[in-house]
This record gives sequence, C-alpha cells and structure tokens, in this order.
Amino acid sequence: MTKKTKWILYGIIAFIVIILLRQKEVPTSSQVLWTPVSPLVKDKLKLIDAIRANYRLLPITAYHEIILDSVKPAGETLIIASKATCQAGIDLRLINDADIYIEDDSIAIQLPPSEIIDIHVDPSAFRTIAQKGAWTNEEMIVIQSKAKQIFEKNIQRKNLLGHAEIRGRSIVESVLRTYGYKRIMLF
Amino acid sequence: MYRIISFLLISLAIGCKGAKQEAKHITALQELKNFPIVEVSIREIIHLPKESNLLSLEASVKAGIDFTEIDTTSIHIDDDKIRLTLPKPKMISFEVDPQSLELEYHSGTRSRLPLTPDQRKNIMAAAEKQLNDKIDSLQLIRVAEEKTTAFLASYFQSIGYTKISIRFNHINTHD
Repeated sequence: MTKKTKWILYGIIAFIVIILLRQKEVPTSSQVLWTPVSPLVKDKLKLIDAIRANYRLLPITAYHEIILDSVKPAGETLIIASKATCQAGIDLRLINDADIYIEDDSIAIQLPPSEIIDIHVDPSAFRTIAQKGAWTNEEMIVIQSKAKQIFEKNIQRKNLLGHAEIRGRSIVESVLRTYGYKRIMLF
Repeated sequence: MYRIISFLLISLAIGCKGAKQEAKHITALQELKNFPIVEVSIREIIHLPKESNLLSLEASVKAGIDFTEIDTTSIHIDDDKIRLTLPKPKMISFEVDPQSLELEYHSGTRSRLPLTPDQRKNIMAAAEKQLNDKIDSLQLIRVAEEKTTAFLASYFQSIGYTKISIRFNHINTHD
C-alpha cells in the first residue's frame, strides 16, 4: 500500500467513525443503505409526558350567544344575548402507562373520550337587545340563570363533543408522526 | 496534501451531522401540513335594524400554521440548541354554516318563519360582519402563536434540546 493510498484510507475511516460516534449508535447494514427514520422518543414514560404536555392543543372552544327573554305582568320586556364559553376535547392528561403500546415504529393508544373541560357563562357579559321598563340586578340574575342550561342543550344538539373527538384524534396522530411513528392506532 | 484532504473529510462529516438533523426535523414538521392549532365554534345572535326577528348563525374557525412552508432556513441547530423561524399563524378556514340559521325570537314566539331570499341575503351579510368582528376580538392569531410555541418547545425538549428559540416572522415569542 502506497503512502498516498494509506492517507486516503485514514481519511475515509475518520469520516465514517465520526458519523457513527455523533449518531451514538452503530447502524445496521439496512440502515446504512436506506437510512430509515426511527421514532425520536421510544421511551414510553418520556413519550407519555410529551403527549400529555400537548393537552391544550386539542380542545375546541365554543363562544355562543344565547337569547334570554322575560316579560313582567305589567308588560315590561327584556331581551338579552348572554355570552357563554365552553371548552370540549380529549383530555390528554388522563393518559397513563397502560394506555400506550409501542413496538418499533408502531404505536397504539387508548384515548379517553372527549368531554366538556370547562363551561362558563359570564353574568356580566351580555348585550341588551330590547328593554322596556326597569329591571333590577336580582331580576337579571334570575333571567341569566337559564343561560347555562340552554347552552348545554345547544352544545349537545350541535354535537360539539363529537367534533372535538375527531379533532383530538387527528391532532394526536399528526403529533405522533412528527415523533417518527409510522403505524398509529388510536382507540 | 493528504492531511488536508483528511481534515476536509472530517469537517464535512461534522457539518453533515447538523444539516442531517435539520433536514430530519424539517421533514417531521412538514408532516403537520396545514396544522389547525386553534379551532373555535362561534354562534352569534343577528339583529337586523327595523326587524323584530332575532336569528342565530354559527361559524367554525381554524387558525394555525402551514408547516409545508418551512425549509432549511427555518431551523438552525447548534449542539443542544435549536432556533426556529416559523411562518406567522394565519386563518386556515372560516366556514359559516348556512344550515345553522335559526329563528331565536319573534314577537314573543319561537316558531320558525320562512325567510325571503332578500331577507336571507341581508342576514348573511350582517352575520358575516358580526362574525368577523367576533373573530378579531378573540385574537386567534395571538392564541395560535402561544399554543404553537408551547407545543414546539415541549416537542423539541422531549427529543433532547435544552435551549429552544421560536420566532414568528422576526418576532421572538419564546426564548
């Protein structure tokens, strides 16, 4: 072997060794040929923490106005549009170790069903549509007490939970793909 | 001469590692496509002037980031530090559901009334303006930026980065 060939060989060996050291693992022959992408986080507990951390991404927020009206015997009328807010979605914080199964680049997760995470009617947030006569604060509170019940019925009728479930599953699947999982099963 | 070639090969290997990592993250993030970070359902009461009818109309709005727009200039890696420059979040969709139009109130009754095409047209125009005002008040783009920052900070932290910097169109929102 000439001196020239020896130096070229040293150079090539150094190149390969540095690549392997920086990857902190020795690839198999198939990996060298096809350089597949393996999941970035394989440790189950670490992945659970990462999934749970995304719980704020999933919910749908509903901002609804609800009509409330009242008429007094003397003919005084009040119509207001009360403002209500609801967050519905899959709560990823409920996922635990037993809900996840990982094998190579495949993952199966048992997701909790979507639920109402928060529902809120702010008594100070409303707009008056029509008013005849004087209405006291106490009377306003009585009228607004119906808002939450009507809002809950609207949410149910519009299937907010169903939409939230579809959105949640789609986002979880997208996030798992960024972690390198190729076969994803969500139950 | 050959020592120089060896040195160049070594340098190339070191450089390739960073570029390879960046390419890997770009591919992974591009999988998110047009990612709807925020989704809201809005229901507004529409009250036309000179009309006693009160109607409600619903819209679904999604705001997020088109991750297919990111490229090699979007990610810079230096050991365990990563810096991302992302496209600003935008409205992905704004769908008014015409089927959701409902009569909420009319002279003390709650029965459905037939609407003329002109009435319907006026209502839809008024509703669109009202819904747009509502969307502005919700500051969905700002919320989308906050949620994207939290999501990506958590993502890159989970894969080993200790310092993560995320910017949207030259505005630094996380450091």
